[in-house]
Amino acid sequence: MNLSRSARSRLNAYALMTPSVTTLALVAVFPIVFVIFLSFNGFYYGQRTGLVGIRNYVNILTDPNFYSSLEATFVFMVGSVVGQLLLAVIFAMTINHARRFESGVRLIAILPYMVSMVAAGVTFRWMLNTEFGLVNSVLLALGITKQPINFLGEPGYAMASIIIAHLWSSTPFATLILLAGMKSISTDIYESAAMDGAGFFTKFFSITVPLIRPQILVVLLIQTMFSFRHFPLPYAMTGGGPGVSTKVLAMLLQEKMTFLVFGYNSALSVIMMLITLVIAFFYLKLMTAERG
Amino acid sequence: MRKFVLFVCVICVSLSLTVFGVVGGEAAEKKPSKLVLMNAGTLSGDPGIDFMRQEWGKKHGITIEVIEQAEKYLFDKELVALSSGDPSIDLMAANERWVQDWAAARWLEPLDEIMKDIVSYYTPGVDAQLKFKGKYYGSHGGNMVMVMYYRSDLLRQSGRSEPPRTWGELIEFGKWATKDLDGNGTIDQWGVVHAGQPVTHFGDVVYTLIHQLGGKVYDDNKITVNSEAGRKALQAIVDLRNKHEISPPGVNTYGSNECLQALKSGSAAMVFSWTWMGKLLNRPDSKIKDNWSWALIPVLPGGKPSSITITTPLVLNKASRYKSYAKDFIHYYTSYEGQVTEVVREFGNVALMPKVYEDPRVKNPPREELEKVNVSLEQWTELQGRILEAVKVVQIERARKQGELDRALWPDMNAALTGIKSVDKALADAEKQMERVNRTL
Repeated sequence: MNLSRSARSRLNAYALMTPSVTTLALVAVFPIVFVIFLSFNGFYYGQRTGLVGIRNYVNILTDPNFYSSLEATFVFMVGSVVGQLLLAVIFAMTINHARRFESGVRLIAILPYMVSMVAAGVTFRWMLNTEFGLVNSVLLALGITKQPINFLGEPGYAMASIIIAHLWSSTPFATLILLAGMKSISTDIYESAAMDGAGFFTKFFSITVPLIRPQILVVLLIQTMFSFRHFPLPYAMTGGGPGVSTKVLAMLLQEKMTFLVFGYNSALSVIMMLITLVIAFFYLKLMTAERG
Repeated sequence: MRKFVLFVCVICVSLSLTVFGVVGGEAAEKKPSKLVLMNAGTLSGDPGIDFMRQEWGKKHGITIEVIEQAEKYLFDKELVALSSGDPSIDLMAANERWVQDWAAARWLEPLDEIMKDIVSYYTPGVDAQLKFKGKYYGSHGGNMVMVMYYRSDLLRQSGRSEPPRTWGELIEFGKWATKDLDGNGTIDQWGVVHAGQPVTHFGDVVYTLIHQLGGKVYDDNKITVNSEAGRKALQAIVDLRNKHEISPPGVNTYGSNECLQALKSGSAAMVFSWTWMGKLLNRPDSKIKDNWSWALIPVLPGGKPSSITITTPLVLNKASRYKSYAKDFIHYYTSYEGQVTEVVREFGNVALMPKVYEDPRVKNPPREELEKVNVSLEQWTELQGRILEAVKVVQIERARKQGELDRALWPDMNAALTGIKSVDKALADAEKQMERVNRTL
């Protein structure tokens, strides 16, 4: 068979792509399609009983637990992402300016990211304990409070505590990305601005922020998606309590998985995926506009 | 030629039947070199079953290999093995809440033939969760009962000779014990502590109080928790924290480990919990060494004494290839004789067979067993006597999907304890959630 040169080249390209496309289809596309299929099925003790139409979706959308978990997830996500971004900017700038000890400071800053989230959660849980916790002991010793604070037992405090633990654990990642962005800015720009009389804030808002916008968007995209699906810290620190005030969607998902409610679970996974896709789409639009 | 083809066919069919195990079936069960048991937690924490697996192994020439599985992940791991038909794990230490559901899914082998001489020893009713459609699918092995730990030194200081037996006495002693010992303006010794987190055994404490009042949480799968008894029981425990202020504010975040910490550090006069903590309280790192005991949870007005049990029944994987040997081990471990050994060798574990506590081997255990847990014979006698009180009045709940139903109920109980919801609203909301779970049956 005589093939033209361009046809052969195209065939070669397809042949080379086939293994990676097949792998991707098997590990990424097939599970997603299968979960979507399962979400329209009924289950009895983990065994599929047949198609049930949109019953699983109706069950979720009429379940008060879903809405309380959705609310908890959004509070956690917004608190985590905003907090991480602010802290990461501060840390990245500090490290960027700490020229002499930069490598040491960078290593210390990244340490929390190396700790397992579950281990961090259990440690925070003990540290924040009302009666035996280190944090309350310090606050009482310094006279900052007169009575111990029930950090994990009052709804507002509990969510704030989990967000703080998450900031401790995840901010280093955001810091590294922003630091890379700051490193790419030429010092000449800052020097020129200084000669024109620009102060710290002018340089920050007029040079640093605009030039690291792509990195900021990457941080926002990744951390929003990670926070939306986050599970270990609320699970280890509060078990979803008090009541269900910190029971995020990933915990609801885990609970239903444990009890073999695969139909509900698959439908919930699809809903979570759709929400994540909407968020990702929004960020990707912004990034595309940025590049344009 | 035709004969030759026929001969080859016969050979092939015979080989296939042999290879796929059609010939022989169960009757041809071979003696295994080992059985595999998935245990709840480490063997070092379960000296009773560790001893018995070795003894049984020596007697039969079969090793019982143990997978030490953290309790938190036990359900998931066992579920995967059972639902996939994996024959590599023969025996599993389960939870009484799971047995009916797994039996309904046809993952377990019935155990009726070995249960005949076991059931007659049980406290009436404690086998309710082991049965499904009239057949037994599990046998109680490592069990614990809910008790009230108390500080005997504080009890004496308060001028009492007996632990609180009524709810009124509990509140009175609790108020006396709640103190700011170092005078810094914060309470550092609390009256009553219990697990209060939404995913821990807070529910079991409340269930005990409901049972005292003659109520039930489930009547099979009819939800009966939102009743007069349910409301009174939950209100009583909520009041300890919010009205009488004899439970710490953080009690709504406590799990078992926090309860143990409160006991060992001496910061609680009374703790409602399971009996497993007993073996740790006379260790050198315990501040209440020799100054503690346990009793039944005090009784609410108009109620009768009650206790609740948590058990790890042994179940047999239907896919196991060595069912008769596995059944023999289950019988060995969970029979009267096995439970005597369990009680003697694993202090804090409980036989749900009252007669076991009359056995001379339990009344006078070997000295080394007492030394292992630093308990004198006098203390042993008192503690086992109090366990017997609990075993005689122990009650359990029975419902399909009980694990899921409990998880629908407990967050609302925690919300009432925290003060986010009134007791009435918490139970009404929980009832609705539990009805939703029941709809999936």
